Order: sequence, then C-alpha cells, then structure tokens
Amino acid sequence: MEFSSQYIQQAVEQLSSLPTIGKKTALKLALHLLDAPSEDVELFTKSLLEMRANVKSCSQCFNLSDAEICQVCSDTLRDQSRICVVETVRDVMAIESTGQYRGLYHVLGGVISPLDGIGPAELTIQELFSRVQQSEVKELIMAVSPTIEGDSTIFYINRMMNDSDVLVSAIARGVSFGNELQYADAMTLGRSIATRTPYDRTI
Amino acid sequence: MRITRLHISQFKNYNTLDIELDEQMNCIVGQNGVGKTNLLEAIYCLSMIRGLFGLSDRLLTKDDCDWFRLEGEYTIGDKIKTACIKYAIGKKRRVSMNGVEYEKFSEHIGRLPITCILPDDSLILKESAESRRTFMNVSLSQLDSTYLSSLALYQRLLKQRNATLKADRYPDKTLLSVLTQQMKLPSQAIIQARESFLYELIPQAQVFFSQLGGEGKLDIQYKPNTVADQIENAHQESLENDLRLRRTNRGPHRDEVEITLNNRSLRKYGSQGQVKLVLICLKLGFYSLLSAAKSVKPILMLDDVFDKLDPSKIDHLIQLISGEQFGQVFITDTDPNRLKVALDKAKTAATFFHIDDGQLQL
Repeated sequence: MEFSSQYIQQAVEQLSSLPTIGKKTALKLALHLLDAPSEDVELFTKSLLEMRANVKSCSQCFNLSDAEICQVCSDTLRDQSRICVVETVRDVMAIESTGQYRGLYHVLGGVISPLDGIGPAELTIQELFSRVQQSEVKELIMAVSPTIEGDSTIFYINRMMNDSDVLVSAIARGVSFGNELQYADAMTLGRSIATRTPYDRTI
Repeated sequence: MRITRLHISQFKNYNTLDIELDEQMNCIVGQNGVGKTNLLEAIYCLSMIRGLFGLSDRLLTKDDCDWFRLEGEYTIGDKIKTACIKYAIGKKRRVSMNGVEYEKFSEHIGRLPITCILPDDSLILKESAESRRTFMNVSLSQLDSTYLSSLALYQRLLKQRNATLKADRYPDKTLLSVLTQQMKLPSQAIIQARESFLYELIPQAQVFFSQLGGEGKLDIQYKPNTVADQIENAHQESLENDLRLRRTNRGPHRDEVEITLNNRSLRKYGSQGQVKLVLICLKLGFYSLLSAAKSVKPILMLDDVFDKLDPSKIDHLIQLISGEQFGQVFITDTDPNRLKVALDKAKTAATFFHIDDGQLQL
C-alpha cells in the first residue's frame, strides 16, 4: 500500500507489527486515531507508555503486578496454604475469572521441554521451592496443560516435593462440562474413566 | 473387503483417472516409469493416509498442480463405503469416510486394511535393525490402534530425554529420572505388542515359506533391548553410559529382530532370492494376522514382486494368492506375458490394466 503521508505509513507499519493485525486493519486503526480528538490520542499513547514503564512481575509469584508484590500475594484474606501453579500469567487471569479459587498463584513461565531448551533452571521452579520452604503452604495445585511436557513438569515438581509434607495435586482432566459424552475423543474419555472420582466428592 | 472404483485427480503422474476394479485379481502392466506403482500408492494412501515411501503431500501432488484428491469406493461385507483424501498446498490434508471428516487420522488407520509388498521391502531384511522396527511399527499400527499412541508418546519422551542428556555438562538427574519413569508405561506397551505380534507372525510365515517351496527352517526371533518388566533397572544400569555418550542406550528404540534360515543369519548369508522369498512370507503372514483381527480379507498389493524369483516360485505364489484365504489382489509387472502364463497355470481369471504415461490404455 502507498500512502500520501510518511507519518501514516509509519503508524500503519507500527500497528501492523501487533499480533493478529494485518495491513488493512492497521490502516483502519490509524485513520481512526487521526480523526479522534488529540487529547484522546495522547491518553491512548500515555497509557501504553505507562503500562510499559510500570508493570513488573511480582517478586513472589511472578504474576504481573504494579508493585513489588502483586495484589493476590498481598491479599491477607486469601488462603495462604494453597498455591496454584500455572504456566503463564494468562492462566492466572483465566482461573481468577472463574471466581472459584481463593488461594495464591505461582507462574512457572512455561513447561519443561529440553528439546526447546527449557530445563527446570529456565523456569521459576527453584523460586517455588524456596517459597514452599519459607511459608505455611500445604498444597500445590498443578494447573498446567495436559501434554507430555506438562506431565513431565508435574512429575518433576512432585519428585522435588517428596521429602516435604506438601500435597501435590493436579486439576481434573476429562469430559468438559456441558458437553455430550459421545463427542469426547477416545483418549480423553479413556482417561476420564481411569481417573474417575467418587461421587460424594463432586457435590 | 474390496475397492470397486478408484478416482484419482492430480496425484503423482496421474492427471485424472477413474477406473472400475476387478473384485479379485487386478494386473497392472506397462513399461518402467509409466505409473504402475503410483496407482498402487493411491490405493495405499486411501488406507494408510501416507504414501508408500514417506513422501510429503506436496511431493505426492502432480508436478505444476497445487492439489490432489483420491476417492475410493469400497465394499465391506454388505456395506458400501466411500473414502476420500483431499490435499491442497499450504493446507492440511482432509480425510473423510462417507462424507464425514475425521478429526484424528489415527481413527482411519486399520479401517481399510491393506498389505503391500514392494521391491524395496527386501531392505527390511538386509539393512539395519531400524528397518525391522519400522516393519513392526507400520504393521502394528493397523492391527492395534493403541500401539500408535504409545509409540508417539515414547518417541517424544525419548527425544526429551536425549535433549536433556545433551543440554548441559551436568544434566539434571531428577529430570532424567522423571522422564525415565514417564517412558516406562509406553515402553512396556511397545515391547509387549511387538512380542505378541512376532509370536503370532512366526508360525504363519513358516507355513507360507513351505507352501511357496522354500527350503530349510525359517526362524524369527524377537530380541528386545530390555524385557518389559526390567525396563527401570535397565535405565538405571545404563545411566553412567547414557551420561557419558549423551544419549539413551536402552529401550525399545534399540530392539532387534533376528531372522535365520537353517540357523544362519539371513541378513548376512541370505541370497537375494531367499531374502525376497522370506520377505513375501513375512508380509503374507502379516496379511493373515490382519485378516483375522479385522474379520475381513484385506487388500493385497504386489509391486514388481516377480523380480529375483524363479518361475516355479512365481507359480506357487500366484496359486496361493488366488486361493480362498486371500481376497482382492493387485499385481504390477512390466511383462504382461509372464503374468498371463502364471495366471493361466493357476486357472485364475484376472483383469488387465495397461498403463501408459499416467493413462489407462483400453
């Protein structure tokens, strides 16, 4: 695309560098910003710059935070005896939006996959151990992806916790809620039957 | 089970081809390089969702074309089924049965059972142990649908374990032991499946060997690198070695199959004719197992199979595959007369398809 202004060209190039934004959408956004009142655009750019400058990762759980310690970690009303271990900050957001969990989190930053150059040292596993040793944690809830590498990660953390009294549990895997059984794939259904739970515990 | 009609579009050297097939004996004849094997490959692909030689979909597509499509009409018992494979460059291939698309291709493998004997298959017996493991893997994938998932899981974990061994000067021993533990169940599943596969295959292959006029005692021995219940110990014992050599030294990825004729290794001492004959017996043995497991007669394909066989063995073979035990057969040959003579001797009726440059000559 050719533009009559090099400034528009520049803005479109920058916008289209964002994920899922193509050239046409970038042009639409640029023209929208061009039409908008200049205070609005200033607010827009300012909020982006401020976000970039101020958001850091929580020194305790590695979730995104405005302060040294994030809101979840500093909330004394939350259950301090449980830590939900997840891969990314997006998983924290997903679990928070369920409103079902009132414990703490720990963001690993991925799963163990030596093939991709990610060993235990590349994740925040060591930090998790020190956290467990220094606090009153009774349970680690592993909420990582149900993949081979996710399993290796759970296995690894479980192995490292062998000597402590901490319970390592994993989130349930099986037929998703609201779906019909017949449409579940064979592997999921097979595992669901193998790892069935007593009904008393589900009410 | 029979394939009654085959429709090919832009596959290998075929532009379009639509043929009705013989329910029993199909003879595909023509010069070298006209597309006899490609026709077999199209039928194979409809069953196995892969080519005969592991080529990518891109290379299965006709030159200068950007998609291919295969459709086959099958009669299984009293049911008629239509299998279809579509591929376009840059897109994933799509496989459907009676118009319903599969989400997982592994669900399709084994539904249209097939056995084929190719000239290159002699390498199974002549080359490294890997080719014999591949023979077991490909065979078992049709017989046992859980085998493929165990194998994929094992191979992925093996790669992760080897990567761990290579990654650092001092690999994380806890991680190694975690990966080793994860490998235990799939390893055992693979070893047990291979064990029972060969256990059932051996007597079948021996019967065919004597029926086809083979001389001497044919024996096949599975030599697992580790027995199933010792897998953990084996890894433990070889840990030092693994760390030194920076790879996993024990496990089913190092299994061997030894084939002997009169107690002498066929791989080292077998003549070309002997190797070919034993290969045919192994494949026909697999055909019998597949036939029993699926309760249908699979499709049998023989590509250029008469090469290196003496005329009396050719006669025996034609006689055998015309029999009750076998169903629909496809044979390719460059020499229609040789084939006709052998078929006449066996009093077998057959349909001949003359192929020239990707086209059917009537």
